[in-house]
Amino acid sequence: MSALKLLVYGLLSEQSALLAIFGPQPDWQRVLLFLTGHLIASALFSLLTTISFPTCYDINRKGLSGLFFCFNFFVPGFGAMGTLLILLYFRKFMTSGERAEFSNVPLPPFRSESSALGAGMGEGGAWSRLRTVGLPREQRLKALLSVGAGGGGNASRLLQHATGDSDDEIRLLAFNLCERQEQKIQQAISTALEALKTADSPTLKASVCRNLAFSYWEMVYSALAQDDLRNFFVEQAAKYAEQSRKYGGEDPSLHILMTRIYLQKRDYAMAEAAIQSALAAGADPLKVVPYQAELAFNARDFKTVHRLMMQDATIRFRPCIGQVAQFWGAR
Amino acid sequence: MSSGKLPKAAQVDVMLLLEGTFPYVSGGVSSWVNQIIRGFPELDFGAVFIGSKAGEYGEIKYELPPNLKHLQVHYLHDEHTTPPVEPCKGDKAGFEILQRLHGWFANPHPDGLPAELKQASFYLHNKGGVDYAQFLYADRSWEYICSLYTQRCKDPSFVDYFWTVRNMHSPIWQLAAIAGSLIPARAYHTVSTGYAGFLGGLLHHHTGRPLLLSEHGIYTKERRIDIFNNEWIQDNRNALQRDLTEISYFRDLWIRFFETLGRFCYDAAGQIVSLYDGVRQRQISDGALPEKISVVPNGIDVARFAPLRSTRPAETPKVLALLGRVVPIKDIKTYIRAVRILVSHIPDLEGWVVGPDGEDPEYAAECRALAQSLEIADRVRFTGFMNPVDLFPRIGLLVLSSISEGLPLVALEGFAAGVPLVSTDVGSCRQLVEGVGDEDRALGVAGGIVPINNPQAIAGICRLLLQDQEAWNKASQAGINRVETLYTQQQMFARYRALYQEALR
Repeated sequence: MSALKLLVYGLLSEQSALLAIFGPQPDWQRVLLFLTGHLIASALFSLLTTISFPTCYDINRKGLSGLFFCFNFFVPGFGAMGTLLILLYFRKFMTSGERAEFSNVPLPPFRSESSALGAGMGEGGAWSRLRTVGLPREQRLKALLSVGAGGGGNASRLLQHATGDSDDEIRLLAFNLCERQEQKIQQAISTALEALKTADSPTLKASVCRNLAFSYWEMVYSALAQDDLRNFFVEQAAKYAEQSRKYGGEDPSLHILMTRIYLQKRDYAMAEAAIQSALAAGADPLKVVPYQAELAFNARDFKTVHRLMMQDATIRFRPCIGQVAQFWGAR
Repeated sequence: MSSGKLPKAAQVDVMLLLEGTFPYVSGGVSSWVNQIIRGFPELDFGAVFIGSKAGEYGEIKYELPPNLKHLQVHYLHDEHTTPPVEPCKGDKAGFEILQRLHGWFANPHPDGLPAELKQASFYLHNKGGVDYAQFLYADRSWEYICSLYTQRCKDPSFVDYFWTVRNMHSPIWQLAAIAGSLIPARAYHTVSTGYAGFLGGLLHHHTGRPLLLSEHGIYTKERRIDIFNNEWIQDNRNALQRDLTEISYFRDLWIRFFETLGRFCYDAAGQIVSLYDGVRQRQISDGALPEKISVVPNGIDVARFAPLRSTRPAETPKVLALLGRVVPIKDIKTYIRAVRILVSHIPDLEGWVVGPDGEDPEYAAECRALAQSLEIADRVRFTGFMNPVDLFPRIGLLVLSSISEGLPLVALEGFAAGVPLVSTDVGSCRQLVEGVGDEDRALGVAGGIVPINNPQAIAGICRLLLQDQEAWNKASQAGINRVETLYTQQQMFARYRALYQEALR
């Protein structure tokens, strides 16, 4: 039974229960009718709220249903409102644990070197401490935890490096931090692959393939796979991006993703074509500039690189690319 | 065998203290325990199995050896029979001793724990000690927890602190109750520190009989890693209070708790056995006295596996096998990724995962999903348990991608059957594959060693060995030579016979 039907039947039952109170029958019959209608309504409401409760919470569903039923039954009217509010709260505000769609990887929190060991450390500090085998374990663990708190390619590379450490504890912790990063993406891929099996419309298929393309690419971008495995993920990302397009899922982000994939595969002609498609689909030119510059750089056309980096003054202040733009602007 | 038919005896020669292993969990340590009991038929063994919750374990996984005369089972998080709530003040002397204990936690000194705390009776009597009811309900207990929270706790949540302290310490009273009621034994033998080791320490002090500790991995280290990665341990500090380079207070508390249990066991044990030198070094750094420690490697019944060498096909099968439970510590995922890489180069290759997958169904499902997402679901077979005797002739290489190992018996069994090993550089695996010392190294390299979490490296060595018959033959012979020379069951039993004789005097 769908949630909507449960809601409608529940409301009708509750309405019948309330009407029964004002009926012409003797008192005991009115009470009996009210209790019966209210019981049915409570059961339907508790079922509705239980099935609508976010599945990300690992809780006893029978217990939850029982709890909702108690609210609904013993506090007529207000109990049902309360359970709906609880449901709304969990669905709207308690979803921070869910994984957002990949668009970019957040940068590690400490990008610059810090002299104060206790307050955190930059990637350089973490690298140097992890590489210094003679340092006390506690200091090296701190470096590792600092890196693990961030994400992205540099953090993955550092964690990967630490999995080869001579200290068992360092390498096991590094492994677990690495695994945690990879697990979230892997789960998204598995869920999307399952969804693809049951997707029955081209629009849905396009959307699922798009998710798959981005998730496989996230594996590459986050440096969670190396060598042959990375190549496999690149191919998978390309395959699903192409499928998404085939099903009609064209959007500027997808074209930019394809540009990045072709750049990774060193297929510069296709990358150029993907850039043009992205621009034609309405991509923000500033988002495309880094890839155009990369193409020009690979063609050893440094004048174009310089021109692209200078074409917009704000580019110098954008994260990551800003430093590159400043370098080229200084020539 | 169902749990209702457990053997019972009035007394035994050796009481084994087993946490989460034999006979309810299959695996390397459990097989070793089974092997040891059967290896000494002249001794009567007893065993205390300590588990977390009954629901997490199925039926007994082994046929119980005839000389296992006594088996009792305790679940620390199930049989929690709390005493009836009765307000009480609490024994002043007992709580003063507890305060000294916490002083010792903060500043351990060489004399070890206060003597009173080593006795099980301290935890069982309400005069001069602190029994379970006092721990739970006494005014002094509440006041003491409150004062420790104020003085030491860096986490703002008192509720979490209170329940962490309760949950953490409750097993101590249960273990003390076990120690107070266990049948007599001439010696106690624990195969880990942790709760089993703490029980061993209590039993040693309670009865005066010797305690032997055989540590296959480092329990404290493994708990530490678990605690680092557990999601259920809360950190209630806000963004301004939190330091990303520090673990949360409660994680630290749990780690210190297990370290203390470990030190208590090392202190009580008369003899400590390590499987290889790496464990010995770690035990010393964790507080064990070097003069107590001896290294006794695992050994196997080579004659059982040697005939398999002649049953192998002439050409090496393009089959890899990972023998082990499907659990995160075996890092099955890295193995599956390595199979993905290999399939691109050797299209008819198969990767088998041979072992039970019921222990962590969620992880097993993730592994299957990974194989699917890598498009090798038809190349990776989850076979469940297989008899090694049937398995070894059908595979080309044994692979261990574990993130932690001791001295894996499957590697030795594979060597005896002529199967080389590709393993991560954990535990004593490098020693098994490459040898240690000139004489051992001269036996050859019995496969390959790779860093953990590196599927490319696993695939590289597997590819080399599977595509080069001469290299495979050399590795196979090196494995055979090594196991026949250094890792036989007879050698291991001889060492343990001497240890038992010393303990049973």
